[in-house]
Amino acid sequence: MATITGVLARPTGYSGVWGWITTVDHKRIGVLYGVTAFIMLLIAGSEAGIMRAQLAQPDSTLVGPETFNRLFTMHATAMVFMVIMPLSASFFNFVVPLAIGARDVAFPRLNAFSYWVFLFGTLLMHASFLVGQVPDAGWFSYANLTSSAYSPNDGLDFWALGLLVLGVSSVAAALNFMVTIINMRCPGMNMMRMPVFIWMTLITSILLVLAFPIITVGLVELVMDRNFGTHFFDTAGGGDPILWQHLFWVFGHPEVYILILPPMGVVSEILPTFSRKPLFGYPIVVFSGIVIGFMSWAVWSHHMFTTGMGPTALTVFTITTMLIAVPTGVKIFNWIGTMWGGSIDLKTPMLFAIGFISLFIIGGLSGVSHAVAPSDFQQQDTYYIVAHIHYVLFGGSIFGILAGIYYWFPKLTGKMLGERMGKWNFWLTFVGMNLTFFPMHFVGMNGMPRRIYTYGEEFGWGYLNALSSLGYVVLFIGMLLFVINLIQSLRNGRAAGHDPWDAPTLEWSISSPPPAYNFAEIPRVEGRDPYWTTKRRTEAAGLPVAGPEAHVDPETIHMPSPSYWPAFLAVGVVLIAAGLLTHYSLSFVGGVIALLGTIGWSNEPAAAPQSQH
Amino acid sequence: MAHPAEHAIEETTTGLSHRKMLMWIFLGSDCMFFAALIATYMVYRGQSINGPYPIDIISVPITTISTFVLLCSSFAMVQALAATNRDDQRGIRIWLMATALLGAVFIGFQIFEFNAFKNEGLSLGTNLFGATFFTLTGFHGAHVTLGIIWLLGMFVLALKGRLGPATSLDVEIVGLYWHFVDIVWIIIFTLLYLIGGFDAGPAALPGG
Amino acid sequence: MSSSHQTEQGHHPSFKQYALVAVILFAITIVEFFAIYPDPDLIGAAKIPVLFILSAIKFAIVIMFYMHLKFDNRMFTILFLAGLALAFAVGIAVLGMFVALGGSPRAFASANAVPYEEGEHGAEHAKPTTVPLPTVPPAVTTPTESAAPDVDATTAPEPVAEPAGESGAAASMEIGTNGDALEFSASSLSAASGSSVTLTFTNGSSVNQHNWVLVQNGTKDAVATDGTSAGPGADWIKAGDERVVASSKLLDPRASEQVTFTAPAAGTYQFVCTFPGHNFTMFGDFEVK
Repeated sequence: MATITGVLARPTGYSGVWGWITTVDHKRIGVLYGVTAFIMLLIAGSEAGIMRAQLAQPDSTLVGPETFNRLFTMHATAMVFMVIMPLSASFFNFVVPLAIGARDVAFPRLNAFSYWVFLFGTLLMHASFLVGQVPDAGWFSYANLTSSAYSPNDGLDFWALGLLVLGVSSVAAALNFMVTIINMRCPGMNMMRMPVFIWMTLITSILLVLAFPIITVGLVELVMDRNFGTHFFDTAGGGDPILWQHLFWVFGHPEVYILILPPMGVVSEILPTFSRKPLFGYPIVVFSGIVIGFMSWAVWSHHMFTTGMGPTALTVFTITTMLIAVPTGVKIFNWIGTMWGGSIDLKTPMLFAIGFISLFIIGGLSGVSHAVAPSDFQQQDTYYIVAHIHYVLFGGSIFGILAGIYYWFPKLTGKMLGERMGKWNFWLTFVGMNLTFFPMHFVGMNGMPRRIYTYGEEFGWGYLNALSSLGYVVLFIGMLLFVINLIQSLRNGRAAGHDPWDAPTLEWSISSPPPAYNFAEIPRVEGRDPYWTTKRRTEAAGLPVAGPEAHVDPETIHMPSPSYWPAFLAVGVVLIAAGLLTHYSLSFVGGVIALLGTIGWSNEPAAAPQSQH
Repeated sequence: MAHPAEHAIEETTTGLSHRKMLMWIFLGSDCMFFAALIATYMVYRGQSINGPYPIDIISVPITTISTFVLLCSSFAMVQALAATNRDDQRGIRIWLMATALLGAVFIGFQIFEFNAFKNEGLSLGTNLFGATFFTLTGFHGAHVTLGIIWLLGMFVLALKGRLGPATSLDVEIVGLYWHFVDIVWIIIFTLLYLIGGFDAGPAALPGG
Repeated sequence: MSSSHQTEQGHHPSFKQYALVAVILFAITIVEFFAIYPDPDLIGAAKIPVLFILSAIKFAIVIMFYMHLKFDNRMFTILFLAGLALAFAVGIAVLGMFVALGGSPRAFASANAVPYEEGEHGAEHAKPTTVPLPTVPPAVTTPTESAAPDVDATTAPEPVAEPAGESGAAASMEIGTNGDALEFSASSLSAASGSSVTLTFTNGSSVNQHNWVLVQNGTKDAVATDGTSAGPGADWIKAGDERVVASSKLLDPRASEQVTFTAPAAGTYQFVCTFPGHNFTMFGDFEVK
């Protein structure tokens, strides 16, 4: 293989498109994730817009039922797997090494590989649009609607194989971040001194690594039922569709905590900064996160209360689900405690963070009402559930992510996002979000089922649905302002400096944007909020406030060299999946590429002797 | 004699190697994967509505032999690591190849068994036993096969003299993977053959 | 061969120790083999715990010695055991859900499974499925059981029950259900007008109650709707419903009943189960000649 790598030598530069394709720099990979996920946000958001247009009036004929099925399936699948998760991954990538005082992640090439597999998996799933065979069985695709008898086209195969590929990306990234966080913290940063965002990243990564294998098995069994004549989920063959539900939700419930814990971590960073006060009850917040991680495995069947599991199961899962609300509530009290008595600075990141808390409380309350099985019997599969989902995932995850974007954008780009437009963005999004989703509690309790493409006038749901659709318009404008803000600020935003917020954590001690090597000298910390400590000490000593760490000659610091093998191997992986949809020979080609890629990766000459893989 | 495998090559917070940590976490994750496949098998035990049923075609004696073969391969693997640590180049090559060969023999037994079952009318779509059996043992076999390819790659490195005490971590990591595949087989053998191998059709089931 | 030696983090087992582990692994496997072969019931009910314990020992010694976990940093043990423990717990929980369900799948298999004819192994004796499996949504007749709740012999596909002789004296016929599916075992029946029909209806389901109601053509859904209002005490049939020609009582699972009636004027009729919701898939045609 030396000859191959000799012909196409290991890249050394950062420039141009090739620089982006071969990058192993965590900051760049964070940007790649963020941009891709944001484009997916716009696509999935448009799908929502079409649905809201269709549902705005009774007996509407804007889109037919088949199209509507595809819309809600792809909207949800994309939002969960191709928007929120990669946006969180974008933060993991950008922030984690900076906040723990490291120069990169433990496995930079594996990091790049995760991104490319994510991109190709997203493209694979959306290739279904190109061939007109789009997944349409809902984002959790219950058996046996998904059998080849009832879903004869390839849509569900695109869905299953696309998710299998995305799973590879997520697990690879999670493995990487686990090792990074455990093994690459700077001297003095023991576990209880790590920023809470790092803790949440660690717990999320543990959940990812342990949960994805379960859905992998479920997806494999689904593909086998659809294509290889098995009867895993087919009653007539002795199988049980409920098994799919169990496999999906044993993964699916940890998955929703995977979706919410990172934004909770973001909020836990922002609140102290803008309250000018350390996080209240740091050990409790950390411990609550750990408890949530553990308990997320014990509640999955609350998604299945209406499947006839029997009173024992109903009771057990009602109790565990109610219990898991406790650590979440504890966090909320700690966040409020952080703000209490603090000197609140209502900048845009803080607005979104406070918005997160209020909206997540509402979503959590509806969640608690679902926890009680008999009440869930009424709520299941109605718009009440849709309301809950969107309060926790939009009001929760997305608001947390938007908060994080406003917070760390200056660090990434050296420019501030416009504050005035940020406030407009926030308020319109906040109002729009509530206007869209709050009415859904009522139509849901009134019996409006989810996933229906239209409804009759006689149900009386028209007024509230119209309100929801109006809310979407407000949301749309709010998010449009966000995009405008991004573009304008990138062009000529106010210069940010290295520490625009007077923040407590290490990433603010280096320049904005950070140099490629992050830290000229690996920092040594003595407690939590290390940069606040440094700054206060400097002030107390009467010295001028510390500027960013001075840059040094990058040549003196060895960084992992770029590599094309991650993208190459990712092509192999996705071709294996694509071949299963088209011709097996394509899978074979993919396998060969994957094998060559693995060999090439392993034998790649390092740019310097001590390079790690 | 120094054992660099004990110490991280790079500076790390815990002093442990990144790659070794990665492999152990990955193996923990793989436990979940096999747990889901095994759970599917266990849930569907006795649910097949037509034969062949396990008792009709499972051969415990033959599979016991293949189990021995796999256990031997684990022994060969630890010998390969020991040889690496003491810089016994010839030993490294012999034991790595022995591990790969024994693994290949095990796969040979699997192929023979799958074929025999197919000839007796059991395939993936025949019944739930076929579905769960072939899926579980098939994925295990795929893990073994990937391991064999990895071992052959290591053998090539050994031929080039690139394996030795300084690179024993590489051998240790493939060893961890290989032993894991072996212990998964221990569970599969017990559940599907020693216990489940005698599952008969419905008349023999309690309440059937 | 290297001898045992110490390093900072613990010792490496020697060749002899590795070989000893291998011998133990082989020995345990041999014990396991003879515990169940050739006589699977040699140690009776102790088989399962004994085999579990023995394989757990094998599992543990490979991990501890071959994978070196006993001598390595505890971090690795924590990382691996976390995954293993969770896998175990979740696996048991999922299994518990199905055992606790105690319901349909197991009963379905017991009710519908076909014994495998042991004999010469060979392709000509082994059919991929002896029960044709429906691949298309409802109203496809699959023959499973007819009268008897025990599964011994499955009757061959019989979409039409034998009509009585044309002379129209007395006719008898049987109809059941497709196991637990919401379907009758036949989709059409016939009789000669004026003949005295004795129909034996067997509820082959293990969980559902069913009835068999002969109604005027095209009225099955309306009769069922009215029957819902009538309630279970009325066997889900409206009292005095003129559209009903004949009906059985509401049968519990596995119960059976004979319905005797005179076949009405020639024409097409329908039969249906009026248990709420069943009428959508559980119906058929009754031709009177």
